[in-house]
Amino acid sequence: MTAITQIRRNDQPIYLDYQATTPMDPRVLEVMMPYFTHKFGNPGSRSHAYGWEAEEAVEKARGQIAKLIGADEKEVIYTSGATESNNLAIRGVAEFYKDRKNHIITTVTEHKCVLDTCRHLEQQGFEVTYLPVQQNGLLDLDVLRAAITDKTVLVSVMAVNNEIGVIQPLAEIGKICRERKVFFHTDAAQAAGKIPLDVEAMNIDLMSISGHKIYGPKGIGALYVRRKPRVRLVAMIYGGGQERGFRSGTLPTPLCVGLGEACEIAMKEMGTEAKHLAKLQERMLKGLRAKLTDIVVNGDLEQRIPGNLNISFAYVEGESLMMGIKNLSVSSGSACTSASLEPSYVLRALGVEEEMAHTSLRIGLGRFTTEHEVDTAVDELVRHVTKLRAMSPLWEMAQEGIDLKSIEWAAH
Amino acid sequence: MAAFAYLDHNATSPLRPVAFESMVEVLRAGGNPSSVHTAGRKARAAVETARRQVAALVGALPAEVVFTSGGTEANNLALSGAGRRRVLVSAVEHDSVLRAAPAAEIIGVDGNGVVDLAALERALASSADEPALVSVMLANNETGVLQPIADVVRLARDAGALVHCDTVQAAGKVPVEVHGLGVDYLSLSAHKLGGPTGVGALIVRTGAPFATDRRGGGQESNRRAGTENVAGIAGFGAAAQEAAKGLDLADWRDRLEFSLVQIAPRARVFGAGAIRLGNTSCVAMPGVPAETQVMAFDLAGVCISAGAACSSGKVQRSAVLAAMGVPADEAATAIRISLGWNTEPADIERLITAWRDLYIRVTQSDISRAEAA
Amino acid sequence: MAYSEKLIDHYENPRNIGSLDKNAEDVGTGLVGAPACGDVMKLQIKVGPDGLIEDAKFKTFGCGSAIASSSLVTEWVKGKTIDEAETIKNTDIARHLALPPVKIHCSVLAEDAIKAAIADYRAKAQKEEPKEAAE
Repeated sequence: MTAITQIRRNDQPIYLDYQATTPMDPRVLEVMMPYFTHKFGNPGSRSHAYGWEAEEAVEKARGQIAKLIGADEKEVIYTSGATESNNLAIRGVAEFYKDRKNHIITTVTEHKCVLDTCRHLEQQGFEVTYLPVQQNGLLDLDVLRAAITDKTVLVSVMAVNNEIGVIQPLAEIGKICRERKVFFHTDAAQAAGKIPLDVEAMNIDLMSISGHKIYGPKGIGALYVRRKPRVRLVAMIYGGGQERGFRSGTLPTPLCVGLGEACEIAMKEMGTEAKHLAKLQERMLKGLRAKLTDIVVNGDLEQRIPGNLNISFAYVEGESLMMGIKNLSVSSGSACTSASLEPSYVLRALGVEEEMAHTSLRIGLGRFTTEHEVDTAVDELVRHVTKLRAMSPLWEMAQEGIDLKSIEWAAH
Repeated sequence: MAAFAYLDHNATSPLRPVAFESMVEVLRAGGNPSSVHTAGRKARAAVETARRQVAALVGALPAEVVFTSGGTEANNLALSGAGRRRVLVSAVEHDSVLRAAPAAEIIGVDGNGVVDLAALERALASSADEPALVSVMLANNETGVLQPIADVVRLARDAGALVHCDTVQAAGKVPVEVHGLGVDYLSLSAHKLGGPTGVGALIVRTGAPFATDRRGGGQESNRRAGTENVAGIAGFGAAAQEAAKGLDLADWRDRLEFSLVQIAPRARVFGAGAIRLGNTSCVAMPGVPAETQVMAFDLAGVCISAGAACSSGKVQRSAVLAAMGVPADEAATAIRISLGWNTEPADIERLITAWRDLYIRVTQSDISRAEAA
Repeated sequence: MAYSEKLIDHYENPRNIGSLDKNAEDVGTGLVGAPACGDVMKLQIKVGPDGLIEDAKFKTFGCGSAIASSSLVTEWVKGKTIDEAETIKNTDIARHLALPPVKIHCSVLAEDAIKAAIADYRAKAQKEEPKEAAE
């Protein structure tokens, strides 16, 4: 891929945090550029050529987004990002239908913006069921079936988890929801452009999309809202009535165009990219396993996007490992909570014990990752894990055959 | 000469080159500002630099700046975030204020579009036991008329009310100082001052109550969740720094209005009796529908608008002019001309020429029709 | 989060990593923290016949600040009497390494570790004494 040199200079760390954000594809940036400069019109201006030009561009992009998920362009509305899309979908549906139904179902491993929105709705008097996931991170469909009641208005299950990359059985969930006449929302921020999505085949009623997770710009996202059968929402942002009244505010033309182009590229290249990433994922895992024992991949390895690995390096604390691998940009969990010291709630939901959760790293591979970068990353990881294990009292005890669980640890 | 004379800056202003440059740099660098690694820290640094620049534009503390997706979101966030059930707004507020608070009590304006302070005082006094939120814009988007915010704040404070001020159109055109004005919440939009679309800010005064409406990853100190639009924010910062130098367009605008009225003696300039932004002119060519004017100007290579841009296309009567007591038939002939940072004298000449050509054409046809009759 | 140069130096070039014979009479071992909390420190001191700490070793499972705190403490205690070593305060460690506020608990743990090692040494020594008296 020729674009690599444009993405990373040699003196920069290797970027392996593609679930936090992706670099923009230079091709996306290129199509955005004119809309920053000479094609700067407000798509809401109907009185002159600048406005028409902007409107045309925004509508073309809307079509590109719709196509990626098998939707009609009329069903796509622009937002400022997946966080807003998730807030709008869940709150919008809950509030619109609250006189008839007041129960929402979601899972414990959702993104924080979904969980926070649900908690807020609970305070408003809605009932929310947070379904557990299995040890592999996947939702048990029988558990879902059992949770749906006459009062259930919405099921919100993410398509791909941001920390462990597992893919939820969307088509099966959609089928259950449709049968039970419950709306199905999926947060597809990590899934769109990575795995095939089809709102018709999967019976998805609402879908959140993010620009900056698919090599597009930050500050833009989309929400798919089904028209047949129609899903109705209470808007969150009121004003000029843009986006069919669902979401007011001047549309940022260059960002819309960028999201559209990112979707178009993803659609064209998804197949080859997935193969490329699967190879890299395997290469990384093989490389690590060849030289390190006691490493565990968290989350299902099969039902997973190839661009993600979440690994516990037993007996090595994750933060100290991150501090060592200075040449690698990885994370110990979701970016939102990077600065906090709490172990990941997603890993805990999988039943990963806290001591193992403390040893986990999220490694995100993406479009611009090369084999050479993977090899360098493996070397760095092996070197530092080995070094840190040599200074880990837990590793020492384990080597001596002491069962760490038999020790009474002094809590502090 | 440029292909078009763009005189619709109140709809959106072209991106300033400095903003474009800072955005391209950030777009190439990438990174999520919440990540702790190198790429993340660089993105964070870009956001924080911009925060200082935006804060400086309005005399706020950097910690008081909450970045949003634009002015509309900032206004919505202020109205819900203040947590006051009773809301008082002026009749000429932007739709993003009026629709975000559909139950708000409307305070009227005078013939020049200036808020009726006596009415505001009465409304505030009418239920002193329930402290309100007052939302009054600094400058109107259609007429450019400035509101007496200091007086609004004084009355509000006496009644224990909070004040939100929409300065989307004012910032960068007149000096705005959040603590000088004494308001609790202040909205900004980047693309109205030469920054990019898709980004804005709400200034929340230190100590003002604020409960967010946007939940998620805890960004913006838990006041507005969502991964930051880093490039947009960087562009906003650079544009804000540049816009802080101010725009001195009043002389050109006055000359423009003088010429228009000279050509069409019955033309009326709305809000002319009030203090206005120096860049905005809302003017009616008697007897000619605004849509006809807009089309004629467009053919002559001049971009103006018939009202607020928003989701227009719908031709409806301006609520702002209606509130000022302008008769419907006259309001239907009003156009908005708005100058900006890259306006040149040639653009204004072009507009005047187009206005003259159109006026002559319609008056002659009027005369010919009258003769035929 | 920006770390001080001293902290990074101790993290990258930790002093006195290793283990002493925990069953030796002149070795005191402190093991504090818990894996579930993300920090475990093992700190050992070897006390010479003159009552001075002649060697100190550590192993730590924890973040960079925890590693640096324990490394620093092993440097500090060497050559001190156990009474002197006991006066080391977590605030001294935190100040020396310029620990960020969220990492202060690492210095607390290091102080606990040295205290635990000293207590272990003293407990062993007390058991010794009656034996000697009997002889």
